[in-house]
Amino acid sequence: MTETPRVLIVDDQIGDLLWLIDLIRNRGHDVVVATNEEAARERLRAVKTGTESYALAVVDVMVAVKDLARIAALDEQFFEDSRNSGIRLCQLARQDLEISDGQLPIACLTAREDDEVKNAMESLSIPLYHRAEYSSADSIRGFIEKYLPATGAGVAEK
Amino acid sequence: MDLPLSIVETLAGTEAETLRSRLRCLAGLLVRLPPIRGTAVILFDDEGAPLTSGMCSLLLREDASELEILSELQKSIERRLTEGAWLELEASRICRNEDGEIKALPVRRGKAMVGLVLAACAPGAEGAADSLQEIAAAGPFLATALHSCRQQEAWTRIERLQELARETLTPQPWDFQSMVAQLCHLFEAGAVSMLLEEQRELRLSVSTDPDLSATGPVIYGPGEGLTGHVFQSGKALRLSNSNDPDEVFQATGLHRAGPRFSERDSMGAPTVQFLGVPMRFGDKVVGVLRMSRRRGVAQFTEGDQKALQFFADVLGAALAPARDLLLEQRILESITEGIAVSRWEKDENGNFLSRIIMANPGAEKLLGRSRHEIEGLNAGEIYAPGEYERIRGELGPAREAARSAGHAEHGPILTKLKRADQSLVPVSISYRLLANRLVQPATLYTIGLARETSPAELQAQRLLDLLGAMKIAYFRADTAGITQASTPMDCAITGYSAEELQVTPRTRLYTAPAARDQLLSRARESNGHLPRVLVQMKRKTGEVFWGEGDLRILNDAEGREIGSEGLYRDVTDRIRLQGFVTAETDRVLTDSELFNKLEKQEELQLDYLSSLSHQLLTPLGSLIETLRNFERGEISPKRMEQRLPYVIGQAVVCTRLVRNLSYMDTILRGEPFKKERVSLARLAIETKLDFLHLLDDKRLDIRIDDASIERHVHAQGHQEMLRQVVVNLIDNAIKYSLPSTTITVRGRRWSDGEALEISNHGLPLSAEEREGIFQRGFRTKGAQALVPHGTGLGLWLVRKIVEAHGATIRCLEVFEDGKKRILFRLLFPHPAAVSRRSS
Repeated sequence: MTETPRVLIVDDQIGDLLWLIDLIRNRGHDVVVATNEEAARERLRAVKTGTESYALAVVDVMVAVKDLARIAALDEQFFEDSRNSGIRLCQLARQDLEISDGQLPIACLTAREDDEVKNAMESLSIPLYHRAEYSSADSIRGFIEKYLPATGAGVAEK
Repeated sequence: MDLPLSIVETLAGTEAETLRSRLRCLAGLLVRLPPIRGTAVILFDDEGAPLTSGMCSLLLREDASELEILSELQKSIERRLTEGAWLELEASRICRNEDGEIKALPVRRGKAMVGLVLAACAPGAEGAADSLQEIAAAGPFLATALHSCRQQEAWTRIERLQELARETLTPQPWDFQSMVAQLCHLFEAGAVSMLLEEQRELRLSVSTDPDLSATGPVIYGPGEGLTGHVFQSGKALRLSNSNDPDEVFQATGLHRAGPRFSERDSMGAPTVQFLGVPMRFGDKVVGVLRMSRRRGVAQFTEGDQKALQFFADVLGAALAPARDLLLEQRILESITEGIAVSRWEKDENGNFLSRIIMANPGAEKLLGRSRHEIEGLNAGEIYAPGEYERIRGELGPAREAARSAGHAEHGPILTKLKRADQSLVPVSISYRLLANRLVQPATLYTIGLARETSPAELQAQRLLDLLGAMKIAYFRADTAGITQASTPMDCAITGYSAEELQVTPRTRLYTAPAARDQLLSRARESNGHLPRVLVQMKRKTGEVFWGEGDLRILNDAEGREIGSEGLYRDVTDRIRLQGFVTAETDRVLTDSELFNKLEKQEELQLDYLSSLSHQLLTPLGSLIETLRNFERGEISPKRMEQRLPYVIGQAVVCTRLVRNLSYMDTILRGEPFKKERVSLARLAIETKLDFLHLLDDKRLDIRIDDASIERHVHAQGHQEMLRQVVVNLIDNAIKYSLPSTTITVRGRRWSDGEALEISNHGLPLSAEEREGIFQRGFRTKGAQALVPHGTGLGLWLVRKIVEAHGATIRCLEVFEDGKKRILFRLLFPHPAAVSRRSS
């Protein structure tokens, strides 16, 4: 039995996750969710080592640094700001781990309009999509549809 | 009987008080000589006219007055003086109880006839000639006795007048009304009036005739009428008929048609006999005292005139210093100060104006005008534009004080006078207000003593102007807190007029009654100076404002505290701004501090806007894309049905964010809102339902002890604002709770109030973080790591809403079942505590 191809979603917003999962599953892919930066780093390292592979990755630019339980347990006085956690993940993939676009296409999702995030993504040649775009072609939906053409089969609804 | 000895003994022994009764005693002595059966002793005045008489067993005719009968008798006697000692007269011409003859003996002293003795005996009675001879022989003794009677009468009256002067002048205020009534009685006059000099004319002070001033002020210029003649000449005037033009012309040189002001006696009869005497002091005539009698009664005598003159001079001596105090000529000669005296008068339109009546050389110098030009001006014409109106207003209380107490002081006031060339000269003016209440109606004088302000005073004035321009007020108050001096800005800030501030204790300018005393105590403890103090104050309208300033204790040379002074400004706007930038301190921030705060504020605003858009876009994006999934057939209707609670949840999240914005606006503006009974239990349950999708996702549970909430918490407030409080607190608890834990919501009753408590187990908070968590824009490091989209506004808004409801909120760390929990306690004070605090 062939393993169902998977898509990695790095996001902690329940609203985002639900519609993305619905769309991706309908296109015959399974979904792996990382709700914080720490968990996402594990997945990217697994991609680098070849133990895991994904058809593509959708990364929220602002995602929690760690799992709440870890944050609560560590009780640290200083954590990295979660504001740029998605940027750090993309840099890890493209620069540190040297995962190519062919190996793992990545798209970023944000509500931010500032230059910091735009410049960072441009330098990494990673497409950046805004939330709540007027046209679906301009939204991250277009990116997903490009890589995951409709099969009509879908994944069994769970 | 030794008649001469008996005469002396009779007069010496008598206790008779009046002239008539003394004469009656003498007549009684003579009638004891047989066979004399009736006697009369008639006294002439020093001008030889009959004055009065004393009778024994003789009754005068009733068809004429006593004086008419005696005058007629005198005339008939004068023609027959050469006939011998006793003259025979027809008794019926004199008496009603005698007929036949009556004997008359002229009594002389030197050449002057001082009186008459009448004796009646039966015709041909034995011994009559002897007795009459004995009386005639005692003639010199009788003359001395009559003269002595007249002297004694004069002295008695002088003594009485001295007593009257003492009675009049001892008590304050002087009772002149009673004085004229007593003079009227003492001189047997028909009417008595006193007129006093004021500004070179005579004004009525008092009169026994109440109708005299009924038609208007009674005023005589010098030489006007008989009274004006006495005033101008400084000499007494006595007329038997003031309606007789010849007599008036002879005495005064005046052609007088009739009286200027008709005077009447107590019976309402016009009085035509006139006696007026000047009230003198040295060569000054202070006033005129005058009396009058109707026709047909005894004329005023020289004795009357002398007695009245004596009394008038006593009064003059008493009144002259008072008059000099009013307008001291020597002061007017001063050249070091400009002095102008003005009098309140009614102009032709009936409006009051202050007309300048005197000016001194100093005033001439200051105003650049001659005294002649200054006198007669309206006082308003010598001030810089607008200044007179200001000063006239400021003088109001002093004017009232002068009217009731006779005098008042005000100033010094710094102002500007207008010179003839229209240039302005800065001056310091002290005002003395005097009311002359001795005349009717009382007149009010304002004496202004002006001094050109020194360079130091000018500098002080410039400084005050500058302070005013900077909206800083200055005041000086006495130990009772009554304002002694203050700048116009003090009025502008407090809303009280300068007059009101001078009678309003400054304690009333503070919201807390004890605040001023507390500040003064602090100032005393800090070497008498309290710099940069911020205090809540109150305007006249009751509006509360923030004042910031310096307070200083004032001491005299010996170190005794004499009051306080201060500079302050209204910093309400600034404090509001500080509240806006969350810098509610007990002082006004410096500009750079405020700038930094504002800058930070602006950053926060931008951060807030950016995170708000982020927070709104995320659920909206999810909403749109979920619906697109359905539209494009990516999900089945069944799946869509499953997704609906999430879709609604995302919409609710958006609503919550927008509501936060709306309430934030209301709270920041401090707008009032209506309060009602709110069930916090219901709000908690409804909130839980809104958050169900999130709870499922994190496997969280919210346990609401609605019974304890209903039992203990009876909140009054704005339902939707309090809902926002509950929503933000539960939202917060969900975000930071560990999965598979429980959030609890319950009610508690504490000694200081009723509490709604929301606790969760999750992200821990240090004591410092729990303290700062309600500040605007504050986010803990843990929160920043966990929730990238937070604004740091949710809990700040919670605190603002809670405080607007008179409640408090705290974040606590508690242990339950061995686990640390974060607890938010929203405490509504008991109603009694609220009313105590507000009172």
